[in-house]
Amino acid sequence: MKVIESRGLGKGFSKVVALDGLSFGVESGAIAGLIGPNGAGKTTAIKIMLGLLRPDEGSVLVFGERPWGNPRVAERVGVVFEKPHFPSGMKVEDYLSRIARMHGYPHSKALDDLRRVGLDQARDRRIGKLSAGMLQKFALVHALINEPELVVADEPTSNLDPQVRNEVLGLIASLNKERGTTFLISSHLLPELSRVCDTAVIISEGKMVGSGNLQDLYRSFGAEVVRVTTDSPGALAEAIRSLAYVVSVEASGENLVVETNREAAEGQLYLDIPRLAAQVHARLYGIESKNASLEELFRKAVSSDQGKGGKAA
Amino acid sequence: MSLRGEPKKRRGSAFTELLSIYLHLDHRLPVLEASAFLLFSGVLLFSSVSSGDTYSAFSYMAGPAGLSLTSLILVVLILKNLASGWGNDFEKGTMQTFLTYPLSRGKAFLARLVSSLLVPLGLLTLAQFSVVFLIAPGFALAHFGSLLLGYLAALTTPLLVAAVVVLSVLWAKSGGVPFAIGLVVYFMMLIFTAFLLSIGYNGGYPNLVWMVFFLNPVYAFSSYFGNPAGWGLGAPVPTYVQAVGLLAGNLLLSLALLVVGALLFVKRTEA
Repeated sequence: MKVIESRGLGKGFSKVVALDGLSFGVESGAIAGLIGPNGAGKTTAIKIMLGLLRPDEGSVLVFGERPWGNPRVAERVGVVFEKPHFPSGMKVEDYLSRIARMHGYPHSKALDDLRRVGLDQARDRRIGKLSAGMLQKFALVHALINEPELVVADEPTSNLDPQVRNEVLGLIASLNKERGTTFLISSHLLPELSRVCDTAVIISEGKMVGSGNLQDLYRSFGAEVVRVTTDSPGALAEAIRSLAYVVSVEASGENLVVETNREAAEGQLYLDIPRLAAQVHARLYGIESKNASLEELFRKAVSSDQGKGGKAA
Repeated sequence: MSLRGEPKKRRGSAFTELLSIYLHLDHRLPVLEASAFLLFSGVLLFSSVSSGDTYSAFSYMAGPAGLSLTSLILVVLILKNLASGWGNDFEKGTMQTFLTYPLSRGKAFLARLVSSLLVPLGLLTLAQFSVVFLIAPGFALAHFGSLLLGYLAALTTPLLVAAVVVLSVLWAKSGGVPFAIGLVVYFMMLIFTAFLLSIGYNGGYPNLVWMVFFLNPVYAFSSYFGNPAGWGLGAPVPTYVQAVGLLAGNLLLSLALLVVGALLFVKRTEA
């Protein structure tokens, strides 16, 4: 069952086309990543799903209903904005307990939930006095206070330190596993997103350029990545770049990450690299295949779409 | 967030909780509220409300609203809540958070209006009626109609200012400019109408006088009760029905502007 179903969404602001026929779906129980460069239309799409914006064209259904001004949808959705805004003059627990009561939960749930993310020490602090990381944690607790079936999060880990980021990602994974909560997460931190996401929606210039299970996406966009370890990364990288089927080569210490066009490369790379290493007198320590990262996948999807001439107005 | 041992869920009221948030934000430090209450009740306490005719009853209620300090405190209180408070919600993005809660935009608008406008006006009501009924219950019962008209006439200026500020906030999506607009409109209502009335009476422009009667029905009732404060002979004097009609028209104008505000809120919160 699809929790979110978007069909031909179009939205413009003055002369800027933010969404241009965006269609995608998010299955119940999925953790879906919404990926796209700045200005791709991610936030606009999220605002339409949350009922904060009305589309100019097309439609979006959340739990089978239109979300615009629809309290029934809002009751089942939790929201984390990139820049969370709450009444700065209110105290943490006081505000959260009102939101808990709004959704029919007792006052005590607010403190319980604050305790779970370690914010109980700040319960009497005014929201405006919270640090950026604490505010982001508070935003997450606030989004989850009503035990939502769907959580839409726009850059939920952007202001967090690595440790808290891990905690948040762990929490997302456990809520998904234990409660079946569906997540739609927009983030530019693609390596982190790939840790929790099982599906992705890739958008560029207001259009969907790829969507579905991550493994299927890797296959359909033909991205293959090989890690090469050598004592002469500079010289070998230069030589590998001359190969026609190589898309990119990135050097990091003794490692080279080589991205290729899968169909063209088909085993050829494993023959060419030792040959090139011998030519430049580089010693090879290893060649190993690895899955393309979400970032590489995203790059492939967008370049593939642009190659087809798919460009929004 | 809790994965086990969830508290039992019951039916919540998003409107009530949002209203409680607004009440907290608007009236957390009720200094202006207390001042307005004390001033309105104080003026009545010292004005020997125990005897007099129907005009006295009317002016007991309408009078304090016409005094600059009492009226100004009430208007500043409304401006603080509506312009600064609501404007900040738009400016700082808090409105976006509120709109993700399970209630319609109409109810979100109503919650803000109740907290920012109806509570201060409720204070006015409480201060005025409680004092009159406490110190002169017999007089209050005998002249209840006039007291009510005086009270409603006193409401017209703050209501009209509030309606203009609501539209300004929704237009500007900020608090600073609407606050200034509210103050300008208020002082125009006080000073400009008195000035126009003087021109209307002394220059022989009855239409101008009727316009002022509409904008500030306290003048219409004063004229009806025969206390035009030295105004020229031959000036228009409304009948009782006309004065009530002007009052109703003024209140309806404010109400219509607030309804336009509610529709504009739906449009402007598509952010």
